[in-house]
Amino acid sequence: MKTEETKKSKRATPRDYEKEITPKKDFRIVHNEHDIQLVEGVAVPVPAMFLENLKTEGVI
Amino acid sequence: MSLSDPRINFGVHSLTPVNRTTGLPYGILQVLGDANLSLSAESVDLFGGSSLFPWASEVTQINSQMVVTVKATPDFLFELYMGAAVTTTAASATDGTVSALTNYVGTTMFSSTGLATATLKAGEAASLKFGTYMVVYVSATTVDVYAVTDLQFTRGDDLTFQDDTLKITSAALTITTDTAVEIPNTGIELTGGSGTIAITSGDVAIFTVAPPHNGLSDIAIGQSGISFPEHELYLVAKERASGEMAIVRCYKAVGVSGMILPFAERDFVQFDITIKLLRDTTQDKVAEIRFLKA
Repeated sequence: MKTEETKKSKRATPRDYEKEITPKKDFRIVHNEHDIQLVEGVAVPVPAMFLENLKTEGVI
Repeated sequence: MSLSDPRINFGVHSLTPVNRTTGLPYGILQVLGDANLSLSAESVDLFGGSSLFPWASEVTQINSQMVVTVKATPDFLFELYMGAAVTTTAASATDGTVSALTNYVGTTMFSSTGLATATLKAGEAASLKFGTYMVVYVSATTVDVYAVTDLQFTRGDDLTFQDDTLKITSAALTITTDTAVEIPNTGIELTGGSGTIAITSGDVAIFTVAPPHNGLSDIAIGQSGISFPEHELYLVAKERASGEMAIVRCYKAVGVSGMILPFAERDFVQFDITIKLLRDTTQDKVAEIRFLKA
């Protein structure tokens, strides 16, 4: 149990996770070190911190 | 016995306006051109009969004024002679000054669903570039940035206009909640608002940047309720080689010309201001001249 707690504490924040998405349309993310060109229908992993934006933009 | 040395005046040294309410000087103007104290009279003549010459003449009025060629532009000059309201910012020799965002079009760019702040990116003060910037809607979660001048584009990291629109971002920046994104090569970062980012089409916010400085003056001209404060003036001549000196105290002065502020091509700014010299009832005079004989 203690080991599990330790592992949790070392985990990255949710924003650091990457999640694979399949864009509904082309879209470009430019944000500090990130420059990700999303192409409609082409699956690609993106950092979780951008998922909310992609929903707002109608990309996912 | 012999004749005494003639009184000879030479040049100009300084002009000092004084606040008649507080009794304190506003400051001193030392980079001056001519300072002409004019007490020119108008008169009326009495002609009559067959005489070709007047029988009498009387002074009807005296136009008392000073016309000064100014070659420096301290804050008080604008306050006194343009009725301006001056706001100063203390020196910021390390970090410079980045203003708060202000919505220019619409209300969502600077909001909880847009941008929270525009701030100096830590350690990037060397790339701050003087000017005003526009943050412009591209999509609900992305923005472009524009600049009004390329004056300091080579300061620190080089910056260039992308095209004739004066856009400085090569690709729209993604704004995310509570997270900072750098405007490349500007030393500035934009931090998203606390809510879900959703900027409205057409919205624009602006902010200003001053690189590290020893003080800022923001001079508001043309505000409602402006006034041209009455003040005292001390005009001081240059001290002569002989030691002779002269100082003129004008008890009640007011600027009447406004200011023409030329930004001349490859030349220093200089312009004339006209100051009326009024009669001060308390002092019972307009001005007083004191000469010192060495």
